[in-house]
Amino acid sequence: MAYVSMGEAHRRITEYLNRFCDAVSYQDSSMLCRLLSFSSNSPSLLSLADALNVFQDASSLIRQSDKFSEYGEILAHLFRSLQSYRVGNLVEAYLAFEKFANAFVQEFRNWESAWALEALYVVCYEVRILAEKADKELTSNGKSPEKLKAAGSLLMKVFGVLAGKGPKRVGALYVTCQLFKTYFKLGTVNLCRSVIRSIETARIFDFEEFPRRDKVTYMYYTGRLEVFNENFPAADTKLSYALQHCNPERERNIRMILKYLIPVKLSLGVIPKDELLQKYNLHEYMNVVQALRKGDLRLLRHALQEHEDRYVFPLTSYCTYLHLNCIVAVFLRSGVYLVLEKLELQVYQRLMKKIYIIQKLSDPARAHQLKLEVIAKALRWLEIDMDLDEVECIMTILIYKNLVKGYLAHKSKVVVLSKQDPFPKLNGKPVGS
Amino acid sequence: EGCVMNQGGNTQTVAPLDPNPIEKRYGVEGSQVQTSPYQYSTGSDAASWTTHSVDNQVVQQNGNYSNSNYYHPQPPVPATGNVQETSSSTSGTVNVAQDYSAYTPYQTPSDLQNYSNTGYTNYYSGCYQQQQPSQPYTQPVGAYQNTGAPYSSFQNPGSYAGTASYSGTYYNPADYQTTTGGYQSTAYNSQTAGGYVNQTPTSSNQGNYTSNPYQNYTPDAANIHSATTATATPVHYQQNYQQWPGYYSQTEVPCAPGTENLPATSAFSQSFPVAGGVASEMPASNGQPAPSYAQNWRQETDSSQPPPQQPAAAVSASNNAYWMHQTPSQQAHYPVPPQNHYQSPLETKPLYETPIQGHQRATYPQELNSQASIHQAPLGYRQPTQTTPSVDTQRVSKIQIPTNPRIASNLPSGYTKMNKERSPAGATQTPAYVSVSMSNPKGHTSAMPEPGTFPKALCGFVERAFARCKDDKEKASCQAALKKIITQATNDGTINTRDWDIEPLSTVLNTDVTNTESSSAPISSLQNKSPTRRPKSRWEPIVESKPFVKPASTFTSGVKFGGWNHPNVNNKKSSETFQKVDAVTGSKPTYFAQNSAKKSFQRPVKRQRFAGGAIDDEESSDSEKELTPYYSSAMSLASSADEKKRRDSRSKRFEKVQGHSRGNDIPKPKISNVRRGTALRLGEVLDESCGSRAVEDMDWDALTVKGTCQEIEKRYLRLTSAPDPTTVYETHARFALEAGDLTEYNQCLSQLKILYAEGIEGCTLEFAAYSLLYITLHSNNNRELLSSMSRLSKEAKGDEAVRHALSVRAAVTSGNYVMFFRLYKTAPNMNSCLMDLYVEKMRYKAVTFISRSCRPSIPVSYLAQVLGFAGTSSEGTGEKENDGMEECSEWLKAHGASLIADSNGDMVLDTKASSTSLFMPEPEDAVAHGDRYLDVNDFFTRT
Repeated sequence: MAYVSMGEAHRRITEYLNRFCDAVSYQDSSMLCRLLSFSSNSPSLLSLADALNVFQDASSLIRQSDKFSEYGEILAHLFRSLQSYRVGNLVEAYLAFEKFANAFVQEFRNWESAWALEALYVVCYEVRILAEKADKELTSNGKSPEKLKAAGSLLMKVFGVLAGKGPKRVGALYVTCQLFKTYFKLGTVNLCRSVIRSIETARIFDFEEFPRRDKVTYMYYTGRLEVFNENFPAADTKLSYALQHCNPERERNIRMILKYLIPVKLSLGVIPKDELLQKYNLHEYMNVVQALRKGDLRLLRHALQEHEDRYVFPLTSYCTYLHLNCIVAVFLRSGVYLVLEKLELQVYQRLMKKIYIIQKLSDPARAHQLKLEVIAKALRWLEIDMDLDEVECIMTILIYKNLVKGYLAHKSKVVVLSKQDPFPKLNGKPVGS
Repeated sequence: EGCVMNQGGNTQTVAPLDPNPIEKRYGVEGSQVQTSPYQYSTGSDAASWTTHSVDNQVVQQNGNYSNSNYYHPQPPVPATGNVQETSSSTSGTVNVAQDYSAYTPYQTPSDLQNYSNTGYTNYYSGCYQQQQPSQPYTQPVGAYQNTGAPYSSFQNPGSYAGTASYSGTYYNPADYQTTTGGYQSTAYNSQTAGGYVNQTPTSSNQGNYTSNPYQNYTPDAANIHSATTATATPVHYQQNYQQWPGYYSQTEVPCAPGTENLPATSAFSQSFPVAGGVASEMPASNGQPAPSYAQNWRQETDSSQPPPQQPAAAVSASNNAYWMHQTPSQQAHYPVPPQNHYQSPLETKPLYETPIQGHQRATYPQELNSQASIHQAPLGYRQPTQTTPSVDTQRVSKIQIPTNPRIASNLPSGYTKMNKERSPAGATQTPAYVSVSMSNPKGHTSAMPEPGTFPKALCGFVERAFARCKDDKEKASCQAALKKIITQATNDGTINTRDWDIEPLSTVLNTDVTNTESSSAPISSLQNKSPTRRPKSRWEPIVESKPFVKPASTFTSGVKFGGWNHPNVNNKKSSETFQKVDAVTGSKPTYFAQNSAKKSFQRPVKRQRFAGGAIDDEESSDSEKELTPYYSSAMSLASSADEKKRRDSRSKRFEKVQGHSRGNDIPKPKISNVRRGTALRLGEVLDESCGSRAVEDMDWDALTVKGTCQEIEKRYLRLTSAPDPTTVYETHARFALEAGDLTEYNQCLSQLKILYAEGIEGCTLEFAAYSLLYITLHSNNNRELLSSMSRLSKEAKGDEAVRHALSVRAAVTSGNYVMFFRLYKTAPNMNSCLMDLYVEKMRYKAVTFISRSCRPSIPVSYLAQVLGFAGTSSEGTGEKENDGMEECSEWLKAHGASLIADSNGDMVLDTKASSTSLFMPEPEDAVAHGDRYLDVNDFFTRT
């Protein structure tokens, strides 16, 4: 930390105070954002933090002027948070920032116009980020992480401030997205429901009125929720919306969306092109897609095995996530294991279709009769050992789910395929519908 | 302190009271017993009171070593008591008057007796209820009445030189102390009883009582009493009562699974040390002992109540302990106390006169001893007590006191045991009683040892005999017969050797009718009450024995017995009972014997102390037990002191019970506990005067430990080691699974998760598998499933159960019913229990699939095999398959499937018809609102 003289510190603090008050009085949202954005680690904020650590009695400075003291509570908490943040005491920083945020929201409530929405966004974002950092610190100290949870309730309070008829309502979706992120990280996604309900049903909200950025984020998260619920058509709709409206320059965002959209599409019978997978570096789906194309059950199972941890892991609880110190990317990329697992039936279907085609080549007249024995043999070639009972069971499921048209003759151990479209395509409908 | 003082006072007073009362009583009994019930009753009552108090105290002491401590304090008190006694005749009267007033206000202002009776009745009733509902109640009432009578008698006795002095002593500060102590003890008893009974009036009466006496002694005591009565006692008592059976069966402490016992024991332990201190203080004035007592009490009470209340709490605790002891002791006491009293009067009178303190102490120890001996190891203890009387010195008393506590502690156990034994072996009890009476007549000296050393088996015999009595007449006759038998036995020297357990009751019961009619009335009252009130078998015998003892000891034990009788007789009957009791001269002898026994006990106590130095306080809790442990320890040199202590403490549970039996059996140790037997024997050996049977004569086989607990159901589980939380929850969860109680299972699992998260070892993999299965099959929560799957380590995934669970999950999610039922049959651990609850769904799903997919039909035999209906054998023998067929076809029909016979006559499922007719039947007893008795249709049909 560079040495800062007392006079320099005094100057920096006074300057910050002046800027803050000016930004508020002139309703300069962007300036306010810059003044509040901790995580930007801007040099000016850092130098202010150093100055605060030298000039300990910043509160007296605030009290000295009526101009400053009007926002005395906001600024005092902000300074304390910044001080702690600078010296790496993140828990303290969070606690102070939380108080600051409460004071700021109180002040924000008094502002008629929505000029400070952007600043409020920054506050919401910083609260969440700081809470995550504080939780990491708590976890590393062997304590239970609880700050993110607190941040969630704070954000909920902010949502309540914005959910009104006024112009501020357009900010509600941003806060909603911050809440989504918080809840997904905490593993309490069921808490999203109340927010979603108010966004989708409250008359005060017009979805199209929200900023596009927030709409995309919102659709992404709600799409993921639909994946959890195995409501694939809805997930497809939401994720596709997110994909269509997201900034095409943001490849990372596109990739995140595709991570969920591809399994959803696969389960709906839509197979992506290899170029897409390659373009967005989604190699983990390569084998899955390949298995679906070929009817290679073994390949699918291997692919699932190989990426199981990645598919599954993201859904682990926030605490586990913190303890394992995993990267966020992995975290965000999960929850599709069960979706991919369900692709097995489609692979069976593909396999039967292959057998059917081969039989058709040799004996077109009896091609529609698939002996269970033959299917079992094909599976054996894939190193999957199944007896006839199990094969029969799979066949009944396939027929029941309408992946195969026909019937099973138990006595003769034969699957009799319909002569017309024995293997109907899903065409965007989920299996079993 | 007040408590201590009271106790001290009690002991002192008891000692003086005993001699005087005995004499007076004797005189009274001889002359008045029958003639003037009131006088007798009064005298007897007074005696009873004193005896009661003594008994109570003794009991308490016996019961609680802490009591012994109290006694220790008492020894100092005795000094004061002596002083008081000196002035007691006058002051005693005054005191008595006060006491009476106190009593009177409490009970019934009009009649002191009534008062006392009521209070006692309450107390007794409480006690009786606890112990023996029917008899005990009556007895207690009688006892109370007696006590009340005693008070009045005391006042009256005031006229009696001896009695007056006694009464004075009792009532006087010293007396009060003693009396108060007695009252306290009684109060305690009563309170305890009240608490047990939950009788507020009794408690209040007691409280008043105690308060008055205590006021005399110390206001705190009253507070304590009231407090105890009000607060702690009831619960404790109840618990104690509940526990009593257990106590009887075993040691009180262990039996006390409830808190009461424990507190009591703890209090005992504490008091013991204090007692030691007191003993040292003995020479010192009352004030010292009192403080020590107070400390003891406080220590005991600390947990329970506020400072004033604390004493009360302590009292309550002590009460509980007392109760424990008392109940047994009372039974035992009845027989014994009379002896003591009688003996004491005979012997102790001089002693009293000379060294009042010493006498008092001696008497106390004697009483204690006698009680202890009577109750627990009658023979050995009594012998010691007998010896002790000779040792009148304060030292002895001091020594005795410490030992007494132990003895006392042992005694309670012994009492309980005695009671138990008595109940089973009534013959022994009767003999004990008889012996008591016999001992009295025989000579305070010679008889003394006998009564004191009455074998528990004998006590048990007596109890049994009394238990058989249907009315007072029978009891009286029985009593007489018992006296004969016991006297004969004592004369023959076979009292200790005879097997009282197998002694036929017929000899006693048949001849009884001719026995004193006068006694019959009280007896009848006692009996009447006792039979009605006997809820618990264990108690019953005890109660019976008590009433018997009371009548027997009416004079000497008049106090105690009288008290008992009175309780039985209730207020009205109390006078009669007293009279009757008085009439029962045997009781006087018993008192004497008791006194002598007490004296002897004192000596033994000393010895015990010496030997018992190694004995823990805990051991001391039950005098017999303590003694027995001590003896046993002496016997078994190998075991270390700690180990001995531990063993002793553990064995006390049973020893207490056994101790009771021993008290009766001592001479003829059929006592279950070898230790007791040894202790008894040792005591006998120790008792020179007793000339007890040689150790070689002992029937060692009779010492074989026998379970005495008659309760099949336990309200608690006895843990053999510190419980491991995960083990507990895992076991619970497994049971819940086995019972298909998912709610319960869930609760356990949530606890287990916490425990596992804290790093506590357990069957984590097994329960990880359960958790997976539960989520898969019953929660249908994908996120939860994924998170629990992601938590599985590679090691976990290699575990058989986890792999099985994962396979089940895969089978369920894919609908692979064939795989599911194969896994169902090969499920490790209790996985199948969780799968059980999903079988129905899976079968329905499978049949739905099949009926949609298969044409034209599918054999039921195939379904039975695939859907897990077929027997456990993989191939399935013909029979098993058939069994599966039946089940399967029934299940299919129940679910709306259409079954037809194919060309071969085999049952097949018509899939096409079934595909539209399948349904999931609602459980037969399932209603939308969950209560099939609230079915809407039922409601309509009714209306």
